[in-house]
Amino acid sequence: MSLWADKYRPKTLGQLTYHPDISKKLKLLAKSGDFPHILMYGPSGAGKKTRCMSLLHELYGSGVDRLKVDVKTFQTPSGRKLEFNVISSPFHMEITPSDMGNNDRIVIQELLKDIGQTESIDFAGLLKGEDTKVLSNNKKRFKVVIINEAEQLSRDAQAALRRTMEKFSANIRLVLICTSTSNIIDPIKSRTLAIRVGLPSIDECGQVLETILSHESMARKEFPSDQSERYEIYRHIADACNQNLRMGIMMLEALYMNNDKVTPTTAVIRPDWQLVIEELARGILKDRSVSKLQQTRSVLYELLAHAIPASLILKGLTLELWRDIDAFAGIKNRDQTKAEVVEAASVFDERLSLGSKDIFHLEGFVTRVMVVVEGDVSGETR
Amino acid sequence: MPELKLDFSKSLLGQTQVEVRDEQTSASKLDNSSSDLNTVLKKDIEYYGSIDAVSSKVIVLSNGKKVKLKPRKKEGSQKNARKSTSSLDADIAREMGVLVNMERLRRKLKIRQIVEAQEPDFSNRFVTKFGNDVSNSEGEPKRKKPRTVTFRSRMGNTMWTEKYRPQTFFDLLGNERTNRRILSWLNQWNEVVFKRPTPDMMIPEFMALNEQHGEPRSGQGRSNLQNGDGEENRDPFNRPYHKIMLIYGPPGTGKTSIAHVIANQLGYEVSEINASDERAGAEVRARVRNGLQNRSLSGKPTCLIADEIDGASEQGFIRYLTSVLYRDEHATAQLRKGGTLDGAKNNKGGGKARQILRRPMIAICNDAYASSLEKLRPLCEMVAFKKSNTRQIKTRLRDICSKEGLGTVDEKVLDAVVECSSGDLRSCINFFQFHGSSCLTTSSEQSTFENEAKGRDGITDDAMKDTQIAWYLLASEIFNRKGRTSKPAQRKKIQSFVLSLPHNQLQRVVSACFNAILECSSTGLKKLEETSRWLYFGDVVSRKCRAFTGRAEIGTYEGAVINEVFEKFNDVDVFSSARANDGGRLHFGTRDTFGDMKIQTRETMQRISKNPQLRLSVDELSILSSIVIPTGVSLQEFSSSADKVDHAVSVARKLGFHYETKSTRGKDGEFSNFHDKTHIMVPNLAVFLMSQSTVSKQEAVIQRLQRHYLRRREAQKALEERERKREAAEVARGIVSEKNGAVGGKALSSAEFFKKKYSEMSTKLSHGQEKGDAGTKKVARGLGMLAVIRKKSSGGNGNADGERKEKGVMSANANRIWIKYHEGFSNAVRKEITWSHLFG
Repeated sequence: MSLWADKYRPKTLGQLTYHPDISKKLKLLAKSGDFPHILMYGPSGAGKKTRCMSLLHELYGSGVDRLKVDVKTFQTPSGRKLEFNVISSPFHMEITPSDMGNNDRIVIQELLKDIGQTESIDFAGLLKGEDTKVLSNNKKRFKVVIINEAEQLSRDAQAALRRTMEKFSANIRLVLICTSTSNIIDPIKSRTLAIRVGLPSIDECGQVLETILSHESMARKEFPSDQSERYEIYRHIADACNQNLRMGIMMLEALYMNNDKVTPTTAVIRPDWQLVIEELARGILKDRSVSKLQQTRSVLYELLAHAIPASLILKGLTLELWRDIDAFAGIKNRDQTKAEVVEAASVFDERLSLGSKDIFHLEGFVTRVMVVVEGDVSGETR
Repeated sequence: MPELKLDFSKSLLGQTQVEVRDEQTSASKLDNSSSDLNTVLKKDIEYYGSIDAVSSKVIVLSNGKKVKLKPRKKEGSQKNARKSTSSLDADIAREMGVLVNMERLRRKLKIRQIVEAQEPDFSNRFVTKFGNDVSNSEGEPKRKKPRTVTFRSRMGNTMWTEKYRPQTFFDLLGNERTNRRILSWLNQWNEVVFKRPTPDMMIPEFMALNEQHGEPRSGQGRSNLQNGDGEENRDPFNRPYHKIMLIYGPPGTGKTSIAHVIANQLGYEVSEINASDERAGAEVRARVRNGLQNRSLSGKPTCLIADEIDGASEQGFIRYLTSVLYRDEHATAQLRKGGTLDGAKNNKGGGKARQILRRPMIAICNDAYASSLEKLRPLCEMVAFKKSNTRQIKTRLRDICSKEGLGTVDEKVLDAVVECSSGDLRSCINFFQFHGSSCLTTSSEQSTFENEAKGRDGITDDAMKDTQIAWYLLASEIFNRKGRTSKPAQRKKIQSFVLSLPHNQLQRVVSACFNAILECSSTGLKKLEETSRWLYFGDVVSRKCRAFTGRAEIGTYEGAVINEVFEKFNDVDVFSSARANDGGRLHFGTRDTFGDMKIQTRETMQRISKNPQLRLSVDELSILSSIVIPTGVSLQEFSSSADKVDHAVSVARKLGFHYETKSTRGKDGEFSNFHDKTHIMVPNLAVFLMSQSTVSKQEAVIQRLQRHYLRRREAQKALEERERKREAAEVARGIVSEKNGAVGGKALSSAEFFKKKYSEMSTKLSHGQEKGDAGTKKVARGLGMLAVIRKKSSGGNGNADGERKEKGVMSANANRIWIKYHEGFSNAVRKEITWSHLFG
């Protein structure tokens, strides 16, 4: 028994429930036996990885599910040993650049060259006694390399990918998975087939959750028997997780684990950092002073120490502020304030991605918001 | 009165100390005021009054001169002895009511006179050299001609620091006690080096030090030596306990000077090995050996001075030094055991004796705790040099200035120079040499001079000394306006500072600024907002700097941030007390915990990412935590629903988590009565939780889960056991059935094939036995011992248990060999062995 999110992950393209058009296209792609380099993008929890694995399943059969984890070692030019995990099946290989830190370029170069220079031989075909002609024309001669979190690849690494993608295209197919294409350099974008996987709608979320519950008979007992009530719970969940389906499924599971009886009024279990951010956003609007800023700073430190990515904090704060500005009575010119807050968010998001000291920029954002709100409340024109 | 006999070589060190101390502090006040002497003499009388008077005295000066002292007889050189003093002596003597050894007192005065006699121009004594080239054995007083003239002629092109380097013990500045300690340490070598008795050590603290090391007082030691056998740890030559002296301290405090002066004064030829010499193993070995074993041309023994040994590149040198010391220790120990003192005393005593260290070594460094000195440190007599006190330095500087014709230098200038050099006399002298040449007659020039001296205050002189100011000092400088300096001046200062700091230090300063800006009294939201732009700039710069290694100069632009912060927040009264103790600032304690958390997080993420199926992002982990460790329901409810517990446990197991019990201690290291144990999940998911209440609840739940997990594992084990037994039983049944010849179907695996063969064999064997055919029996037994089971890798935990179990079942048959074959094992080699071949 494992996590539901894992247990009920669709294995084949046929099992995928939502985005039927994407599934159809992928099926057609798989049928041709070959596919170009793929860039899959979309928000987290939308099912990018699932779709990618389903495609491979369609292509290679159940062999792709025989996963194993290897620890590979590379040596950097400076002599440092670098270790990272590679998840692989006989047909594909999966790497995550964020494991490698600054040395992703070397890893990409070495690893891809390594794979690209060895042709895979279809032993299965040989054993079956297929003739050599079939073998040479074998459509599945290439190996697939999946790069998770491709947006984390450094510029250098992406540049290293460019040529490799073309040179070794006979042996390698790349699947880049990322949440946003803005960090991917253009040459790579042009070399790949971009597939966007959007979030499921709230109803689609509900359906997925319903299917899961129907399989979990023990859990189902604790949920209301009335279907509409159940769907209301699903809606709550989908709301809370922003339609991030993986998170939604985990929330469902958490709901089951933490409650004796689940009713539509049961509070959805949300990650507590979200609550902290909500609290923070309210505080910022209410009290715009240096001493509040000091408190903010410790909260931000706390959030960062709990491994919440700074960009996520910024995003959460902005969205919360957006919501709270509507509710905050003191503000006169709501639309303009909102616009300024969002502008500030974009500015500081850029700074976050360019700089490395998250706390500077998060606090800078909070300060800017305080100044904006203060200006509006006291009626100054900025 | 009978003639007193006193070895002055002992007493110069011991007995004159008290006097020297006072002399030292007022080195230039040459005509001692009577009050000074008064106290000195008083002390002496108190001290020596208790010592029995000896008949006559022969004074051996440190330079080897022997002076015979006769009681009540004034020598010619003493004509100018101050009458006031001698009358004072008498006064004191009367007061004390004891027999005062006037001779001693006079002799004390004479030390000065002797020095004066040698250097007629006593007030100018820095430019003369103390005569010390008298060979130790003969007592002929040899007067050295003062070299004043030659020095004067070279004045124009000499560094003052060299010119005014102390030449005699009296010239030395610094802590009198440390000076004396070095002197007496070196004196302890007398016996082995000069074959003359080691002087009594009159310094109580030093005696204490030696006794602490298990070293007897030298005087006693000497008598013991003559008696033959002595104490256990006694050095056969009464050498000091540590054979190397390590002098350490900041630059410009006179470490090299004291080593040279004292070595010279005690009649050694100095052999210096400093950083300018090649100090790789082989080269230095020859030099050290020469220094330690040979005599110099002048016939004087050498004293090895290893200067500046704290560099990293001196490993070979230090290794050699330590090896010399260890060899010496070994030889000494052997000597002590064997008692072959006579042979060893002879310099050419043979191989063993040659290993004994016969010459003193003095090592000098700035940082005694440098990593390269780690091995050497415990073997050394450590002497710390501190900064000399300001008064001494000023006096010396005034002296030098007056001698160099700078006239009387203004007190303020002196103060400024001494303060800014932070007690580095050398840099002070340098300063005066190069800046003092501009004449100081008019008041305006003097003020510029003073300004110049002040301009060096704090910052530039540190650059001059080649040491940088600590980053936190710079940080505090940024925020604190000094009342007396103007803002532009301070800005200039900070800028020069920033330029001198390396990049990584600058980053620290920026972080410190970031920490502090919220606490400034002048801070405001607008100001902070503007600053955030600059912080961003600094951040980008430092990141770029890291990206392009070798282009560290970009990093200096980070100084712009510091400038900006300075412009905005520099104030006389910076930190508002109201906010000073508030949160916001990242304290060291929290910083540590945050660091811990980051490490834990990374580990956890790594562990989770090893799970190939599911890739979780960090923000989802708190939800995961509430699935695996549900704290929402009460404990009873939770444990009553078995499927939930089961689910949690199995999910955790699937993800590769396990439970751990740790016994904890109270913060003070005591066991607290309850909560002796904490239960945590490994990896610790609590890292991702922010509400403390949840975290505290977790423990109980984990405990429950753990119990369940253990129970389940046991159950699983039991299940596996049962399975195993059943299998074994089946196997047995199979054998029986095969025995009976009922072989159904073909063998699926080699193991089964073997079983069949085995049963055939055993039947054959029994037949053979019945027949009584010995040959067949032998062969059959040999083959019967060969049994191979090919272990199917069935996966899971049960594997190992299963194997053990199987072994247990089968071990009833004693004469079998089980060869296990692990399929997953890479170096397992398959060999084609046909069964039919084996079984013939």
